[in-house]
Amino acid sequence: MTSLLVARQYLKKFYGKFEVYLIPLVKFLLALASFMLINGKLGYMEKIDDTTIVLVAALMCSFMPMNFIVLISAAFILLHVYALSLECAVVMLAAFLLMFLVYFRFSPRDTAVVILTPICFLMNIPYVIPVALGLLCTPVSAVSAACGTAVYYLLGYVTGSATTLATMEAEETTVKFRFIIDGVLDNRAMAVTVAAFTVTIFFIYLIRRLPLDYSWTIAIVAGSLVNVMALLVGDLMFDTNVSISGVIVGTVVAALLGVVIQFFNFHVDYSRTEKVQFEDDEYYYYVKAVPKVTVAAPERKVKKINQQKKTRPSQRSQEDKKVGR
Amino acid sequence: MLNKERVILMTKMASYEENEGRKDRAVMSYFRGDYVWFQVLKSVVYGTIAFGIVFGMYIFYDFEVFMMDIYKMDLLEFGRSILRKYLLAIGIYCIISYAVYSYRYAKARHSVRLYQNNLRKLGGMYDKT
Repeated sequence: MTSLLVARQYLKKFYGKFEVYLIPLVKFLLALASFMLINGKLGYMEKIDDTTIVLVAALMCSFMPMNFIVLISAAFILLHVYALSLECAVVMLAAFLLMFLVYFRFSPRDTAVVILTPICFLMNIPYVIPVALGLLCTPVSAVSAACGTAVYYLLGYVTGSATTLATMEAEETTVKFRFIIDGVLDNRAMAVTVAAFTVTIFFIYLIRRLPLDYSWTIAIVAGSLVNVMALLVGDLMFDTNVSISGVIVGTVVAALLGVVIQFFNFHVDYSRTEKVQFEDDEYYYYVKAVPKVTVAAPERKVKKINQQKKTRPSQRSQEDKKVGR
Repeated sequence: MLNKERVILMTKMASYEENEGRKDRAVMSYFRGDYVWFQVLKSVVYGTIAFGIVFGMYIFYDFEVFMMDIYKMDLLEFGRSILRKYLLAIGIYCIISYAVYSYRYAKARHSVRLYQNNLRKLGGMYDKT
């Protein structure tokens, strides 16, 4: 455990030292992953399905605010979908506009979740999102997770019905439009996932805020169980065809990542908890203080043995004069 | 000689000034009422655009049926029902906006007060030396 704590200290030091370079690098990698996933999953417009364009766009994003990545990702999605069908692009544009106008005006910091959620879905670790948001954010973030989930399922629906859309006649604009809207609104898997994520985020947040010992660990375990239960109950009720083993394995991975988050964010020693009571003119105070577990990172010291003092001949003569030789 | 306590306080203050301080200063440049109502007004504009998008999609979803029914339906009643829905949606959105921005103003005021207290504390530290 001590070596892990030392490693954490090293990481913190490293981050503090190279923060200026690390933040643009992380933004670049996130943008690159996001654009490559979009191109890989959609890829209907060949002009933007190009490594050079992706690299240039990702480089541009690395020096811009986080929200810029979301905007460029939305532009990539819209262009690909436009190449497939105009109606799809209209529905997508409406969905993005509604998200940006109605919700992200309140919490512009949460926009990164909209990118991270589909990325986690594609990496088969979607349940990391509710666990991480429950541990690190407030219940309001459930809306961001819902938006990210909606984007993922919308993209999934578009790619899944690309052949059907391509075979439809050009004149059947309203039919195409209705087909897309119906497909999105009747997506039970999306509704169940959004509901399960929301419940999990609320549950984890509420438990981790309780004044209990090991509240974060309890929150991770209980939240993971609630996630599995919610998804399975949703499957039973709405027949969403969710893979039970996938849900269980994914939730276990999410819980493990939750433990990593806890290690970096809330690592305390409950055995040294102190409870004190005192009073002033207005209040009685019942204080519970839990110390953080920290270790100082050992510093390397290079000790030189038989070090020879190198002096110039001119300095040597001056020193000789001072001594009076 | 470096005063450790003073350096820590100054670092905290500089970090606040760089990050949240900027936003808080912008918020505190308004009176509470002005700030909250300006944000609510913005919400009305954004909400109207969002409602327009949803309404447009609703009409376009069954466009052919709508065009066939348009001659038969009572347009005034249809307009009234749409207006009622619009007012309800905007009303709810404005209430949420009012609550969110009132809370944000109170939070910004609290942070700025803390910052001013720290400034006074720092001034006191300089006076002592």
